[in-house]
Amino acid sequence: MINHLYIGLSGIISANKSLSTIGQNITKSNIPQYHRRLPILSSLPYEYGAIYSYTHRQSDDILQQQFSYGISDVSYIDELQKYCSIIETYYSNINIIDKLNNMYNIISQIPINRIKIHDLISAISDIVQSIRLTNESINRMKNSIESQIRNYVNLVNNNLDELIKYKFYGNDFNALDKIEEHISNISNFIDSKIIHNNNIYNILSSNGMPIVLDIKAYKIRMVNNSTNIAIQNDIGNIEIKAGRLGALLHLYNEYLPNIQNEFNSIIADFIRNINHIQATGLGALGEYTSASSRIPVSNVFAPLSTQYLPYEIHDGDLSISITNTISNTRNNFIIHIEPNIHSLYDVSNMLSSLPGLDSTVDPTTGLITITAQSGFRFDFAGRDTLPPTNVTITNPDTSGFLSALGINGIFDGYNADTINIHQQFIDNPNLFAFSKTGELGNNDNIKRFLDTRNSSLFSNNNYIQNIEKLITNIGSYLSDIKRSHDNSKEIHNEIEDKLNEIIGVDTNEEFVSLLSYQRMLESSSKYLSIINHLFDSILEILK
Amino acid sequence: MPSRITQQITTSQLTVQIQKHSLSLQRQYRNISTGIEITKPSDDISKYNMILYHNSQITHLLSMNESINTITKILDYITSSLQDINAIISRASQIASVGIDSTSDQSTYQALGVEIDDMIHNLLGIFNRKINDDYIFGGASINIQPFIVSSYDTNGRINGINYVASSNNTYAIIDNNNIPIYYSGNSIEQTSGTSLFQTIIELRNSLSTNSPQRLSLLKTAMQNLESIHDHISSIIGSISSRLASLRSYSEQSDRLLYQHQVSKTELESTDYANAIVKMNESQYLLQSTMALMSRYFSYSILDYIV
Repeated sequence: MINHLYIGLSGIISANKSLSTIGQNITKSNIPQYHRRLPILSSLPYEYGAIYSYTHRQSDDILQQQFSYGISDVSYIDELQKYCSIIETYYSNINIIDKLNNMYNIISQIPINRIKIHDLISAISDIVQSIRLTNESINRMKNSIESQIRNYVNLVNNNLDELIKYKFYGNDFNALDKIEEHISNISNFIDSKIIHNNNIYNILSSNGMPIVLDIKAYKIRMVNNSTNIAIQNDIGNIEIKAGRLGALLHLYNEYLPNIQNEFNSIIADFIRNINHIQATGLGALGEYTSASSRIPVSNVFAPLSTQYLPYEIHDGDLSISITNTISNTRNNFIIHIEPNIHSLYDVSNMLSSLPGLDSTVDPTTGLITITAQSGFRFDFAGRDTLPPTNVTITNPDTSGFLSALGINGIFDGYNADTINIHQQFIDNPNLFAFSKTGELGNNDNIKRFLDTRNSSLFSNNNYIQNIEKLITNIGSYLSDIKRSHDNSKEIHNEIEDKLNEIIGVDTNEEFVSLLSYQRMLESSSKYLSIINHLFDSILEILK
Repeated sequence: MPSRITQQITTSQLTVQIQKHSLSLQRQYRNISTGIEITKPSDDISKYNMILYHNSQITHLLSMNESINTITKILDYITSSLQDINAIISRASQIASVGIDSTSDQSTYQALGVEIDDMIHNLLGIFNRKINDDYIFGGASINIQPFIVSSYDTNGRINGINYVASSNNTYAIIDNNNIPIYYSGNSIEQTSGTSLFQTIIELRNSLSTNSPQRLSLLKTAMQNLESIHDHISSIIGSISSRLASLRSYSEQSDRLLYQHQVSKTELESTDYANAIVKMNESQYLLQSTMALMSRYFSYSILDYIV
């Protein structure tokens, strides 16, 4: 009969433990990655009542893994979207296309209004400012991405540390919850394969490199090799193609350099065209008494083709008109430049051999200086001789020597990073070469400037259209990202909901269980009380 | 349909909906308050491309119209100067005709000679006229005074005028076309080897000098003046026809400009009716989601447990 007491007791103990489990579920229902626990009761042998057998932790490995992949995908696109919106703003807000169009419109007005030359210089300065500002903003963005990568690497490592700590707790459910929470955090930054077996979690990178193996975490580190950033750990290179870190690596290593290269090549083409036409024309100040290169060669004695100049020098002719100001005569001379053979020093010697001209190269600076002797002046406009022979040269520099070395150009520099307006044009806008003959009313060079609006002399490209293409490509990429963001977010939410259906806590359900175990506890207590009363009655009889 | 609804599912779904409606609402607020729907390529790539195209056309046409206006002013001034020259030629021709009249005495010839001499100075002034500090008959040498006195006679009167500026015209560039604006004075002052200045100087000399060849010289001068008058008239005609075509071109570009401006505005501007409907829709959806949320969190089985 004494069994009755144990039966009642087992009911109270089981209900009590179950209530504790339900209490855990209710209080932790809002903790992400908390897995619902179920009290599992069973019968004691020999009809001794019930026993709290074990706590079941709800889980689904496949959904859990899909959930982690989803986090990586969504955070990858989220991070990309954030930065690409800024990149789009940088390139579209500078209105570079409007500014280039404005420059050409001003050039077209110069023949009828010379004062516009001053407007032209300010329009060109505006273009230079915009180009530089864009490139500086992108460079600043690259710097902040670099520091953010470092930050994310630290966060991944912190999560790895935490994760390893919980691995020592064995099959403790709270520890497992924590491990999964840290795996989710890691998935936010990197894409990884999670291998889960008997509550042991191993994490591999997408290229199969171990990140967590048993109870050891292989921490990751950032390796910056001047142009690229790579992620490594002690085992090898970690390939990261998703997660926030994956997005930043893609931006830093691929997307931004591609955009910058494209922008640089458009700007380089623009600079060369404008400099070439400027150098082969004449302004209101007429011929030159001296001219110097602005882009240095590293070795003045080596062939020009070996100098890795930003602009190619072609096998071609350079025509020089030398005017004798005393006899008022002008002669044209042509020197043939072969970049595979001729060095800057050779070209300088060829120029020096011309009557009325001196040329020197400075081996230290790598620059050439051409000077007219007293009573002489020179130009590269390819104009008629004096007395006239009615022979003019359409392209006086087929070698591209002048623009390649920045001689007599409007711009200094050779790409979006280095572009600048040559100070002498700011000081004296009358240097702008609108003419091919030197006459103030001759606008032949203006026509050449305007022609470059439609087609580059060197690449046959249209750089205004190319900038339009670049900006719309950025916009198109961002639109794709936004669409992908919506799609992957929707998929991820679906997976998250499915996972929550299984592992999540429905408080209503828990309250029903709570009532049920309350009843169990109350009824067991009542049972015990009755048994107690029964014992009292029996003991009373015995008295 | 989910088999179990947990608090987290409900919360996350409501959060997603709130984010979605807030974003849509914010976009509509921006569109309505700025009046512009397309500001970046990602807003709508094809529309953005079209806006860029219209924008560049608008700036091009505005600049072209400005150029056409300036060219028109210059050509109007040149035409008026050529008309002044022709008026002087006509008066000189009249004087020559009076001179041919045998009833005139020597003092009349002298007086007519003095008038012609004044005309030489007037003509020189007109041929050396400037606009915007550029000589209008200097051709490509717009900074060089085109006509200069080369010699004076014993009475200190102008006896020779030379053209020293360019033999090429100055051209303006409109839509890749060269339009002559500053003509070479040489090509105006001379036709078929006959120089206006030389003819007028000879006319003055023949009026001032009592010579037996006076009559034939005056007749020759009259013929020469007539041919120069015709030559200048033909230049005025060609400039006028160019002006007419420029004006018609300007009208066309004005119409085009208007069309581009309308198209650009249509593409980039907010469609207010549509935006307000969308804003209201987003507002209702957001409000209903918020209401749902507050109802969900106020409802609990705890309310029924006593």
